[in-house]
Amino acid sequence: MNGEGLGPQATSLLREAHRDVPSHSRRTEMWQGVEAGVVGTAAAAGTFKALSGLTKVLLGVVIGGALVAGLTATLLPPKLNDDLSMIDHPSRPVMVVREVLLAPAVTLGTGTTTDTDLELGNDENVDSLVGSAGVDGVRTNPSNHGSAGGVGSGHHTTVNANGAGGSTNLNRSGNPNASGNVNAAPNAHEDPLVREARLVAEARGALLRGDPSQALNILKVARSTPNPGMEPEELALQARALRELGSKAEADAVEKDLARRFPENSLSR
Amino acid sequence: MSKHHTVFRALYEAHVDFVWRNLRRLGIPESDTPDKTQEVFVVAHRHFAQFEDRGHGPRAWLFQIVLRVASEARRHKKRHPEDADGGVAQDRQSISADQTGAIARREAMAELDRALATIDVGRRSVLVLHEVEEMTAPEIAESLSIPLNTVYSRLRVARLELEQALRNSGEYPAMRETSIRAGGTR
Repeated sequence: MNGEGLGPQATSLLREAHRDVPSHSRRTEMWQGVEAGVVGTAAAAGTFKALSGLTKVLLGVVIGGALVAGLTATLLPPKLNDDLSMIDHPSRPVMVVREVLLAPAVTLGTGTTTDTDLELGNDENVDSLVGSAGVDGVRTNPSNHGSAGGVGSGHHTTVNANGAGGSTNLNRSGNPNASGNVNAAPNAHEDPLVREARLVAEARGALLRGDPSQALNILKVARSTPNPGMEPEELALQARALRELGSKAEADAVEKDLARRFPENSLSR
Repeated sequence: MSKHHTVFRALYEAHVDFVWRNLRRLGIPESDTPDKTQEVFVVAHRHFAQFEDRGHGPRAWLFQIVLRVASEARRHKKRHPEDADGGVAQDRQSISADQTGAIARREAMAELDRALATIDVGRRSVLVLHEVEEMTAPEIAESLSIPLNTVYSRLRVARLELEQALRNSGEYPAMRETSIRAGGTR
């Protein structure tokens, strides 16, 4: 310290700063903290080093999977659930939608049929899906339509829903896509109301993703359910989808229909 | 106990004062300094194997870590201002009433730190390393990875700025000279 160019008092302060050191006890405490930090880091590093390459890969997959699942659960269903929770007195169908949202996802398109998978190619199942809803022209196509039906689509079922005013494709790809395919994924033992609720949830999901056309397609299929139990929800979503597509007049008409047919429903207000 | 551990302990004992002082002069409140000192040495331990002595000992290397830790702490403080006064009041609370010498010393250091805080970190580092740590200009150039001439120019400007800041503080503590001379550690 030469203090060149500095006044005597600044020099004095800087000299004092040189004596600004921790006490002996504090030095010891800090060293203990350093040791603890070093040991903790080394233990973590040692544990990681001890893992085999395969274990590290598996660990990465598990952590990555958990992260994706967590993000999905955080971003999508809660938003949907929030929307639903705004309904003052949720009807049973709304409760079902919530249940569906919380239900574990079923892997589709793996090529392996399990108890929970749809027995595609089984006309009975398809009939049960659309049979009594005024939908005719059911055609089952067991060939692989992976390019149209999404990744891993081992089978493709086309349901021509003329009765619903248009052509709607149902596939089991797991991903409704822009071509108008709808993930019906009906289960032989699936309650029609549960299936309807799932379709409504999918329609809502399509709206959240900014795909109102897809939402309308899904809603058409949902409304073909025998004894539909979620018509107010479906009409409300339909109006919303139409509005997003710019069809204000049609949306207003649907809302009027909703208000007329279900005046007591909270969605009509 | 491994040889590595023993060598690192020796490094700690030799340089903990250096790390402490520089953290303080770079704006870390006293209440946070023990934690930050530990952090510097934990980081140093992690990279100890890669440390190469280029003729100036480990101080240049440690100072690089100190700069980073202090910079992160300042950023954190800006984002999460827990103490409006930067922990000064907390520091004062830890002083017992009879420690008048220590209080005067702390106030002197607080005043120095306030003055230093007005100086840009780059120039402040040069000033502190030269005037407090008594490092030579080539050592400082090595520590901060800057040209030698930059060290001289920063030092000249920083001295002027320190003088100016102390003058502006209004209560330039001639009266503290006596209490400072009492000296001692914390």
